[in-house]
Amino acid sequence: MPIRGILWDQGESGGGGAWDPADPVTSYADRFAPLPKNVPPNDVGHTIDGNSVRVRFTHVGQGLACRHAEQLHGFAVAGADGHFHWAAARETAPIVVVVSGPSRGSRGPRNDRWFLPPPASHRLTASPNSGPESDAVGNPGSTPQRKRFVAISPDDGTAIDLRNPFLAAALSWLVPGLGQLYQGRMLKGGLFMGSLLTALVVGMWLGAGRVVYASWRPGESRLAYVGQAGIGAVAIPALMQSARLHGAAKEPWFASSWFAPPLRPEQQVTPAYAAALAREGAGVDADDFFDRPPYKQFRGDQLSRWQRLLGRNFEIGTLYTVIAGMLNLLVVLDAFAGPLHPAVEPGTDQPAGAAGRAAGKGRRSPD
Amino acid sequence: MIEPLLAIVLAQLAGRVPGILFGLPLLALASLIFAATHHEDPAQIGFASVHWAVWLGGILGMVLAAVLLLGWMA
Repeated sequence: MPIRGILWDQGESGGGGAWDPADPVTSYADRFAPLPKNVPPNDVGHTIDGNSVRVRFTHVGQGLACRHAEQLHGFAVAGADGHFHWAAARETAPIVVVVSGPSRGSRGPRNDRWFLPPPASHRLTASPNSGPESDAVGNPGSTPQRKRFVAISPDDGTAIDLRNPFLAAALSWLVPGLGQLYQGRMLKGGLFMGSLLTALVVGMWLGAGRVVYASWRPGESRLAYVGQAGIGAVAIPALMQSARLHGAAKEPWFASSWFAPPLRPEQQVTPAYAAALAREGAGVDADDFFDRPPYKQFRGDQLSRWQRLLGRNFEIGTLYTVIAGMLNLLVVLDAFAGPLHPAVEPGTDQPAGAAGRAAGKGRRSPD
Repeated sequence: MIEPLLAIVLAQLAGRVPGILFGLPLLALASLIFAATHHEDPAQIGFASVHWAVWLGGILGMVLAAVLLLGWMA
């Protein structure tokens, strides 16, 4: 496939981003790494020869410089389909770089970076002129811009704009899939949100809202909370309830046993919380508390009562919420760094199963 | 040789049907999440979900069968 565009991202070799904004394919890349406004469009020119493109930079001051790396990298090329793929690059003159992309029918060595889909962890930090290094190779007076983080889809090589990956990861931790929705990955966001929240709600329902709580008192370490903490929407209330109930206040933030740890024998709580528990039922009534002014002292073991009342549902509910929390850690990672890199089929340069499926469905493989 | 063992496993399994029923949705959930965190294309996610379900189901099924057999033998 003849090359139609080139994207130069900000990599360890230094330099700023530049491509031909007049080209319809390279202008697509402007979505996640726009050119600075003060660089005129005619500052970049390129000529295409087969699977190579010769890029001429005329706004680099004393010339291009390859810093912090033995060779140029961070270049990607696109064919007519508009999908960018990693490519090899070399300098032939102080202001000329030749970028060569994969050609149809040819196969390089297995570790040749042209033919392997870039790992998700190799994110493009496409940021034209974003720091002192870009100033060192030219672009004087350029306006620093926000770094843009981009992952590459292992399926078709398309760029995935991760926006602010730290914020996306935090959102996905808070509510499963929310980070993906923030990144505009609606399908995956909806999928994660629907499936994991369903598992969480089913678990909470089976456990009558009492299976998610935090407790680290001697003899009552809730290890399941470590897994449940993978979802912030339940981890935070559980922590708040526990800290306040075990603290000087002696009652949780909201007077309910939801997310609150069970009362241990001789534990003192406020009369208001004791009354709320008695109203709630769940094996506790007003006679279970002694008067210890200004508090009420519990007699009995609330955890044992929960387990007797709920039977195996307590364990199943705990399991559902723990599994949901642990799986959400993968979702957080997906929001932070994009899809995980798939295994490569032995003897080929394709992700496992990709070549067969591409042939079966009449689709083109990534390259 | 296989048939008596299979009968034992099935008999043991029958006593644990509720547990297995509750476990199957978790298996499907894990397969879906594993697939969706490895792919971006919806078709690939569907294909990989089945792939993961077969693997996880097979591995966990083998473990369950071993546990049931050991339990019976003990």
